[in-house]
Amino acid sequence: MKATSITGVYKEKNRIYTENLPCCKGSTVYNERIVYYRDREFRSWNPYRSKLAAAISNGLKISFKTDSKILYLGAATGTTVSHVSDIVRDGWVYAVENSPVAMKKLLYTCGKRHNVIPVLADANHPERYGSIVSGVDFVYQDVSQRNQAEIFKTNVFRYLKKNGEGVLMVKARSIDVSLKPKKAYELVCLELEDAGLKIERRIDLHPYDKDHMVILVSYF
Amino acid sequence: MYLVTKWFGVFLCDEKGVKKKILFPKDEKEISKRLIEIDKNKVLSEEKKIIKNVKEQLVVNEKRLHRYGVYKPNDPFFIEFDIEPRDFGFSENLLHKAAKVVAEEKTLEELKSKDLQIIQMVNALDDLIQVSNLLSERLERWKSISASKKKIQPLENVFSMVDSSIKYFEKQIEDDMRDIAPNLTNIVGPLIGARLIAFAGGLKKLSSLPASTIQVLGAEKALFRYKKEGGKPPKHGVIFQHPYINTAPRKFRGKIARAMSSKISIAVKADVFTKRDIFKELKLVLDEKVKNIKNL
Ligand SMILES: C[S@@+](CC[C@H](N)C(=O)[O-])C[C@H]1O[C@@H](n2cnc3c(N)ncnc32)[C@H](O)[C@@H]1O
Repeated sequence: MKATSITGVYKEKNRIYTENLPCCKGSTVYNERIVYYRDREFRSWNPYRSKLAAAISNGLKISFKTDSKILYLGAATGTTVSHVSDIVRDGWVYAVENSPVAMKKLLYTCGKRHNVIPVLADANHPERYGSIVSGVDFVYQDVSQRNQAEIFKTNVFRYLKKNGEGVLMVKARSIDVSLKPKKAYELVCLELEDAGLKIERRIDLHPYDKDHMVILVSYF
Repeated sequence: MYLVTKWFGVFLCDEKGVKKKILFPKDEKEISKRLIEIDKNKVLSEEKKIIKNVKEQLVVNEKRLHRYGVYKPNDPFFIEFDIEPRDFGFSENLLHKAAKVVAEEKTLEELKSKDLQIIQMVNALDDLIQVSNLLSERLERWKSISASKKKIQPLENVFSMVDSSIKYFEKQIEDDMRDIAPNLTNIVGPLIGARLIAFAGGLKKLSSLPASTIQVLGAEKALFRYKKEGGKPPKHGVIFQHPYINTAPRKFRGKIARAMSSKISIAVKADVFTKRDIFKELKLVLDEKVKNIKNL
């Protein structure tokens, strides 16, 4: 098991891992494999199940620190949230999700994680969680909605600290099924750039996800 | 002066810092109670108290507080000025606990909500109808070769049970639909209405869809194929089950579907937003329209 250039992400052979939090010893979130190395417990991070793992496997460098504050939009049932929570062990993950069915499961899978703050809310209306969330270092978004660029912008402007970064997972089909994926990504990037965000990198999630692109954005 | 509400208290601030504050009790229950109030768009008693006797113009960044100050969500002050819980003796672990209580309560409440129950009921109903058809076919075949009473009885029992469950769900769906969506129910009937809610994923979601989407709800596969591969666009989804459409001559169906979905869209918006009963007028207009289309 070796550390990688990304804080909190480890590698062994061709798989990536995060170190499980002490409060969650021995428990898994989505039946991922647990391995032990020098008395430390690592959870395997499956790129077929988590788009962030897919992005990292395809070369995405993210700037998480152990004490980063992350605004996570579209937390779903906590697959990726749990790994982010492993990485920012001394920081916070505000996990926003608007489906009560998903939230119920998220509370079950990540309720014990002391650095996860669950928020049942619609990311279209960031001001509704204004008393809970404040100044974050990173905005992560995976909501597969048609207006996802809009959702991303309003949250970035309200909560992302200057010099912060953000990641947007774009599913081409949810932008417009009649467009070629390339065109759909182009539209999203243009909308972000028009709002003054800088596109740092774009990485295709192939072969882990079909017609998905991750966009890394910075904000000054 | 800025009025800022955080999970641990309410604050009056200016560029130099916090001028006045009322902190919440350091207790997850007390904090979650306030977060739920905020979520329900209510003004906290602490908020009312802190602004009493303040003469200066206030600036707020929540619509919830617009009565108390100018609403400026993008005022840079709110982004640059962070009030740290630790500076006031609050640990973020308390927020973790309070947020969990809030999310649990809200989740429970939303899962209980009637439209989600209706979605489950109408899906169950459609399952039961399918089972009932299968069973009745089987019984008929069996009887056609003359069945022994003893052997066929268990199947007859299940069949009649399925049938009474179908009646039960139809009644329950109708009652709940009249309750949460009277306009929609009166325009298309409780079952088609319930299926529309199911395909949209909820009543609120249905109310936000344009009429053109409502027209093809339930025909997603066909729509996707059309957008990708061209050809003929699907003209109707679930609303095709309505007698207005499925008894009409083929050439009129698209037009009638369009007229219906536009009225459905208006009806659902009334059910969700104004909550006024407008179905009588809507139905008159729709009937007239359908008549005209057929007489063209
Ligand atoms: C593709 S899933 C996210 C998967 C998750 N990021 C993971 O890797 O474990 C998208 C999620 O976004 C949620 N979502 C969609 N629209 C949303 C909105 N407006 N606000 C909050 N969540 C939303 C959906 O309910 C769904 O759970």
